[in-house]
Parts: sequence; C-alpha cells; structure tokens
Amino acid sequence: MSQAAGSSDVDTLIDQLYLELRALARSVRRRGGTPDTLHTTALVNELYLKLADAERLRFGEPRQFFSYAAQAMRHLLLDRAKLQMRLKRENPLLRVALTDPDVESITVDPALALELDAALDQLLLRDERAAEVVNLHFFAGLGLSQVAELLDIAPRTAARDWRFASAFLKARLS
Amino acid sequence: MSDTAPSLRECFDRLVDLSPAQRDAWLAAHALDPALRQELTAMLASDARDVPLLDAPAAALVRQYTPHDDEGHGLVGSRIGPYRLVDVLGHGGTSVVFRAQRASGNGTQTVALKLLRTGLFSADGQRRFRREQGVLAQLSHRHIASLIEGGISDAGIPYIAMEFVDGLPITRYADVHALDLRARIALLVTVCRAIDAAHRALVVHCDLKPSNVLVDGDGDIKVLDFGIARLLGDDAPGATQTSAIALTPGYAAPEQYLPGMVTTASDIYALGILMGELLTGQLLPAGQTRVNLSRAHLFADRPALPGLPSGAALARVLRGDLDAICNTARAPDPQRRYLSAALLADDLERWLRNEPVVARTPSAWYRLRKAMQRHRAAAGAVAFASLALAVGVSLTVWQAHVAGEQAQRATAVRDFLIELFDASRAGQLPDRRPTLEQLVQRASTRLTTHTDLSPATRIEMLRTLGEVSAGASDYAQADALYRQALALANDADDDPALTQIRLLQARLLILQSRYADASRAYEALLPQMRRGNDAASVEGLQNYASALMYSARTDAALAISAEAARRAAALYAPASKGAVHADLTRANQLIGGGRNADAAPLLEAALKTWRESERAPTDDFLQGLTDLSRVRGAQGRNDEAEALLREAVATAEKMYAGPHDRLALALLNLGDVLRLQDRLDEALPFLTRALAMMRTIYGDDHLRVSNTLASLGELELRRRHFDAAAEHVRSAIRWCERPDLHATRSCIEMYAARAGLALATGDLDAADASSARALAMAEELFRDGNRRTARLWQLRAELLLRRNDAPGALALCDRALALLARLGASDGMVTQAVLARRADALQALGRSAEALADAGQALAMWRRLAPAGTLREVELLGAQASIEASLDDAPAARDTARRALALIGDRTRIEPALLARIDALAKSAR
Repeated sequence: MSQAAGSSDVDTLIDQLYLELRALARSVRRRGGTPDTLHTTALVNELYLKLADAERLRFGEPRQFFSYAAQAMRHLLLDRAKLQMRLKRENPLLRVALTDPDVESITVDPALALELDAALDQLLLRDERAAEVVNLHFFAGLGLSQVAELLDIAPRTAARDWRFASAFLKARLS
Repeated sequence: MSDTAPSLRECFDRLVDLSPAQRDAWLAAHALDPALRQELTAMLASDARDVPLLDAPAAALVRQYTPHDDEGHGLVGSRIGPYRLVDVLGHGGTSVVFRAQRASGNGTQTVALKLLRTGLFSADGQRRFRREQGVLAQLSHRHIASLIEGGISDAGIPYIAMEFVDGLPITRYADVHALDLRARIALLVTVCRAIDAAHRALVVHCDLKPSNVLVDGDGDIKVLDFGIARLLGDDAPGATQTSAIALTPGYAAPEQYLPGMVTTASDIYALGILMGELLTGQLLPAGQTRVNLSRAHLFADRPALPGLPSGAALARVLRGDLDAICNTARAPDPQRRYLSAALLADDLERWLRNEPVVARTPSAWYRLRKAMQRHRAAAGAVAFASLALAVGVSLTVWQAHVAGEQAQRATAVRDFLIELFDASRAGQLPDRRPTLEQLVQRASTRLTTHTDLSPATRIEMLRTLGEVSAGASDYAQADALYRQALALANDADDDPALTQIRLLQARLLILQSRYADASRAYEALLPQMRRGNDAASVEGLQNYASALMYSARTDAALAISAEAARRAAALYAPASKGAVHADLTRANQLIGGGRNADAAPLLEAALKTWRESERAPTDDFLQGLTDLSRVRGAQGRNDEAEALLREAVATAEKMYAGPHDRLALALLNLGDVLRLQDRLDEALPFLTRALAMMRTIYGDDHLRVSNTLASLGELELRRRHFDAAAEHVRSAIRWCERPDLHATRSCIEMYAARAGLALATGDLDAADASSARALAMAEELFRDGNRRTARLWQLRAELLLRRNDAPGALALCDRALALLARLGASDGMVTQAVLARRADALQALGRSAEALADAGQALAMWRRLAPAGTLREVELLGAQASIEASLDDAPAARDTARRALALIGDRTRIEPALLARIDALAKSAR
C-alpha cells in the first residue's frame, strides 16, 4: 500500500500531528467546568478513544493513523465551531470579554464549518476517494504529494481529486 | 460520448480545464440531467472562487475556534528555545510548567519546562538568572531532578528545562501505597539526604513542599525545583532576600517572611512541616502556639491515612521521639533547628534503629546547640555564596571543587567557609561587606594557621583561592597562593595536585602576557597532559598552543593545536559545550597561523550551534564572534565584520555590568573596524571607552592599553590632530621599548603608527627609523609575508616618494601587490592603499595614464569596502583629479575635484595642500 511507512519524514509528521491533536483536544477538556450537552462530552470521550487507538497505530500503519487523525480533527472542528457559536449566542459577558483579540482573530464564520461537515457526508456518497483526499489533505494537514503516496495514486490524480472535492464543497457552502 | 449518462466527476474533469466558451459548447452538445447540470455549473463557478475555509489545514481553524486561556495551553505546540511545548503539567502564581521535548541524538528528550509568567527584562536580572542557573546546572544527585538548562526566550521570558519526573507527590505516594510509619520515615530520610547534598553544594531549595518531592514508579524519590524559587526570584538587586519570593504558606519558615538571607535552616523547617504532613496528613500550624506532631490529628476529623494507625494509636507512636525530632526541625528560631539536613536524617535513622534520638538526649542536644551557637550563621556557606556572587566571583569555581569532594572534605571546606564568613558577616550592611581581595586574603591567612584541615583540603582551598584571584585579575595574589599550594603538594607528594597547580601557574603566565615563560612551563608539562585523558589536559594543550602562537612560534603552535583538537574530539560529544569550545579554540589558532580559510567554516558552525543551543554566552562565544569578524574583515566583507562585532559588544554588555577585559576588547575591535573604514566619528566613542576601561583594568603598563592607544593614535592622525596622535603613540610605544622585548604583532602596529605620524608631520628620518624597525619585526615574525608586511612596504614607498625616489617606490608597491596576490588578499584595505600609492609613484614618473588606472581601481575598491563620503574617498578623488589634470583632461579633473569637494564636511580634516589642489582643480577654467 504505502512505501513511506518507514520513512522518518512520515514519522515526524505523525508525531507532530499526534501532539497537535492531543493538545487541541485536551485544551477543551481542561477548560472543563460544565460541558453543557451530553453530546459534547461524548464527542470528546470518543475522540480520546480514537486517540488512544491512534497511539497504538503511531508506529504501525501510517494511512490508518492519518485516517483516524483526520476523523479526530473533523470532530474537533465541529466541536469548536459549535462552541464558538454558543459563546457568541449565549454569553454576552463572554462576548464582551472576547471582543478584541479573540473575536477579531476569527476569520472564518464557524457556521461554515458546520455546513462543511454536512457537505463532506454528501461528497463521500459521490466520490469516496475524493473524500479521503479531503480527509488527509485538509483535516490531517498532509501535502497533496504525501496524500498521493499514502493512497498509492499519482500526484496528478490526487490534485484532481482535491480540485473536484473542493469545488464540490465550496458549491455547498453558503 | 459514451451512451450511459456521464457522472458528475466525469463531467467536471472534462470541463474544468476548458474556457467558458468551450464549456458552454460542450454543455449545449450534451443533454445532461437538469439537476446534474445545475450542480456542475455551481461547482465550476466555485472552482474559481477562493473560500478561506479550505485555505489552511483544519488544525488552524480549530485553533482559531479554541478560546484563548492563560493557563499556558495557548502555548502548547509552540517552541521555546530548542524545546517544543507538548502539554501543560501545572501552573502556579509565577510560572507555568510544560512537558516539552527536543530532538536529541536519534530520539527525543522529554523535559519539564518552567516558563516564568513575566519576563526578566533588566540586564541585571538576566545576568543573575544566567549566573544562578549555571550554578544549579552543576547540582547532580540521584534524588534531585537535575536542571538541564535555563535560557531566556526571544521575548525576554526566562525558562528552565528540568529533568522530567513522572511521579506522585510524596504524600500521595505514601497514601496510594499505604506505607506504614517506618516506610514513611525511610522516605523522609532519603529526602533529607538529598537536601543535605544540595546544601553542601551551596544551594538552598527555598520552596520545599510535597508537590516538589515526587516519588516515581520505581519508588525513587526526586526533589524538584531546587533553587528555582531563588532563580526566579525578583528582578531586583538584593534578590537573596526572601521578601520578593513567592512563598508557600504553611511550608515557609517564619524567618522567610522577614528580610534577610535565605539559609539552609529554612529548608530544615520545611522538612519538619513535610514530616508532619507525611505522618498526620495535615499541615502543622505555624506560629507561637506549638503543636506537637502527636496532637495534630486531634484538630482534624479526617479518617486515618492508609497504612497508618488511627487516632489515639497514631498519637502513641508519634509521641516522644518523633515529636521531638519534628519540633527541633520546626523550631521558630533558626538557630535552634538541626544544623544540617544530615543531622535530621541521622536522628530519623536513630529512631528507625530504635536508638535514642539526639533531639531528646539533653547532653547531646546541649553539645549540638553549643556547636550551632559557635556557627552563629546557620549555613553560612550559603551566605558566603551570596556574598561571593555579590562581589562577582563565579560560584562555579567553588562549586566544582566542593561538590566533587568526599562529604567529609566538603564539610571541612564548608565549615572553614562558615568561620571565614562568620567573622565578617555579623550585622554588616551590604556596602560594608568585605571585598573579594579582603576575603581571599583572610582565607589564605587562615589556611596557613588552620592546621586541623587535612593537607589535601588546604591544597585545594589554596588552589581555588588562587583561581578566584586570577579570575579577578589579581595576579600577584594568585601567584602567591599557587606557590603556597605547590609547596604543600610537594610535601604531601600529591602528584595529580602538583600537575593541576602547575597547569594553573602556566595559565597565569598567559594571563600576564608572559607567553614565552608560559610556553616553557607547558612544555615541561607535556608528558602529563598527554597522559591525562581529561578536560584539564585538553585545556592545557589548547593554552599551550595559544602561548606558542603569541610567542610567534606559529608552526609549533599549530601542531599542538591540532593535537588538542584531536584529543577534544575524542573526549567530547559532537555539539557539546566542550566540542564547541574546542572548535572555537582551534579556529582561533588557525587564524593566528594565517589559515583563515580553514578557520571560517569551523567558526560559522560553532557559533551557529551556540546560538541555537541558547546557551548563555561566554568569553569563548565572544572570542568566536571576534575571530569570525577578523576573517570577514580580511576578506573585505567589512559590513559582516561590523555586524559580528556589534553583536559581540552587545553580548559583552549583557554579560558584564562593569569594566571588563572582554567588553573592552569588543569595543576596541568594533572601533578598529569603523576606524579602518574612515568612519572616524563613529569609531572615536568606542575607542575612548575601550581605553578608559582597559586602563581601569590593567593600569597604564599593559599590552592591551598600548594596543588601544595605538589605535586611537591612528584615529587622531586621520583627524589631523597631530599632538593628540603623537601623545597616544608615545604612550603606546612604551610597551615596545622594554629591554626584554621580542617581536610582536602589536609592536609592528605601533611602530607603523609612529612611522605614519612622522610622515604626516614631515619628519622623514623618524619615519624611516620606525618603519624599518616595524619591517624588521614583520620579517622576523612572518617569514612568508603577511598583509602587515605589504602595508609596511606601502609606508616605505610613501617615504621613498617623499625623498624623490619614485622608481624605488614603484618597485616596493609592485612587490606588495605580488605578495597580497599570493596571500589571496587582492581585494582589501591594504591592496587599496598600495594601489593608490602605486598611482602616486607612476604619476611622479610621468606615467599618468597608468596612474589613472590604478587610482580608479583603488577608488572602486575603497567604495566596496567602506560607506560613501569618507575622508579617504576625498583623498582618492583628489589624487585622481590631479592625474586627470596632468593628462590635460581639464573637464574630467574639474568634475572629479568637484565631486571630492561635495564630500567634504569639515575642511580642517583635509590636508591643506590636498585641499588647495582640489579647490584649484575645481575652479579651473573650461
């Protein structure tokens, strides 16, 4: 499947991604207090289970690892986007507190992230491989050439998949 | 087209690269399902659209959407120094602790990285931080988490990387494992021993509490954060006082709330509190009302600790001995506590062996108390350390010797220090503290009268005191101390000590610029240095090579230098401090041997490694910067040389608060680079400061003072302040007129300066004598020629021209150019000067066309080497205008002369004859 399994390049990528995911996931757990919905808790728990799997996979099959990592990142994105929307909607105090640097640093409307999540489900039905390219490129943060290598396809094919997928997704974002 | 309807993907792939017209044509030709067609059109429109959502990886968005907090999580993933922050381990009032990693060899090293919440922005605070972390880094003990390194991030935030310990606080560990009373006491004994080891190394913890005493999975104790409270203390002078250090209530000893010195007694108090918490599960109340350990549990209605009996049963076992031990450790008066953590550990062990404890044995207690009263300052060693820091001694000198010794000798040394310091300390105001000289003097006097110390200890103390004196530039004192140590070592037949002292004596000769003597001393030690496969031997060889280099024995120096480099490579790991230092030293010696090309890559790599490691800068780093700047200067890359020297000055100013040899040298070098580019006004303040500083350090009669004077003399000469120049050169040259003089580079420069001055004032005979003397030295030192030789020929050529011997001048210039070409220095300051002089000679011979070519070349070269608008540029333009005039090209001459005039700011700086000529040429008729 992949020839890159042993290359230290991939190992470095895996390590970085893993650390990043754990840090991102943990930062919300630590904020803790009262997670308002069961859903959020379940989401974070599920994420942890997956990360525990990922830990086992770190030294095994890179493609599997990156798939899990991408899923975890997708969950995180959804979770954080919802958190942002809730913070803005529900807590005027927080909104005041967040006004300057934080709110301004948000350049992409979190609502778009929710739409993206739905569009991805549709893409999966239309073109499975293109959806996998989105997972590895956008969510796992791999370069397109690395994606091609992992999926054992020509770099040109990966690039075309990405072009198709992003056009598909963008067409569905309001 | 295929018969079956094409899929969305097929249509998209087919259309996406087509032009809009081609797309429309294709769509018109194919009857697509309307839904498919609509989707396809939308996608093709989107393809060109830029949507920020998909621009960056999802992780960036997640970060954007993750609310910021100030518990350090925002920093996770970022880099501090060489470390990457992995996650947050904990945070306190003043700092956040991260788990962090860095690449190390093939794997990664995990550390606990402590980041201060606010920066240390004052140079003083940063200096103290660096100094103290250097002390702590040497503290090495199995039960003390070691400090790996400290640094200051770009933002000025100090960080400390410590050994990462995966363990539980001692109290939690004891509960989780349901340890019984004896097991808990045994743990405590280990803690006490670790604390005592640190105290012997002159480090106080200052913030002992359960969360700083961890037990790992193997049951091994590690004490964390040693000395960190002090290290991260306040950013103000006098930070040895506790007032500004964040204290942990309950664990801080009463005196820690008062201004005054932190002592080991405070740690012993904290050990008493720790004992209480470990045995009763709660903090013993502090203050006037003393609560015995055995009664503490009565104040709480909590369940018994796992492994320990409850209520009355616990009180029964604690009552008596353990009460007494705990009360002694926690005595409100520091002088009534155990004198050392070792004594506390001894008492706990007595309890474990069912022997009577000292704390309850009146006679023993009485003796102990008396002993304590004799040593009024409990743990005066620490007080001494503070004083030593205050007067600027590197504690590491003490450290290296004290920590490495057998406990007994260390204790003897410490007691000696206690007494030494005690006699001078009581009730003294900070500004009445004895000076370093007084302390060393007092110490050596005592050492000669203190016969109860073992010879080995006395040898070592004398030697250390000698090093301290040498470090403080008190060479006479150092010499006397080394001699005393040597005599003792001779009597004691202590060969290793003899070698050590002799190496130090040889080094002292180098410090005193007695290079020939130093070379002889090292030569005699060569067999020992070759036998000893250790840092001292490598350093000895490196110093030997330097001594040879300074006595102009270049080939021998390079051979020894190569041997030192080989031994260093075998001894030190790549990129380690020792290896980097060895590279810097080797490069320095290669430069001394004229092998710049070999030195440059070594220097670049070593400096890079150093900067990247965020190691605190040292003199070696400064020397490396200076050396590389010299190479760059020789290559005509003056801007790079200047940048390196500005870095050196800035670094040295950070390192040294007051006058210091290294800072003065950095200033001198920077002044020289500016001066050689004719940036006289910029150079002057640096050289003036360098001179004042050199004089403060060395007095008047020292080579470095003379070097600085010579440089200032050249500067004043360029400014046409001939009286000042003459005064400087006269003072400088005194050093070269000693009877035992041998040829040195410095003296070449000084005689060259005197020759230049004589030429400027028209004293041709004096110029002849001085330049001849300089040339003789240069020929003795550099048999294969050197840039200095070429420069002197240029001076002599000017002299010949002034004596109307133009052919002789031309011949000398041609020789100089050939030499410079052979040295690979055809593009530099010296070549520029020779070309200009050659143009003068050709002009004098009436070969104006050739003269014009050389003059033009000199001008172009100068413009590459120095910024526009300098005095030299005016001179070169003036010369060119004269040549043009003699070629009957009046317009060109007028034009050149006017360009020269436009550059002149201060007309008094130009030689009057030259100025008159330029004026005349600029006004000449069309």
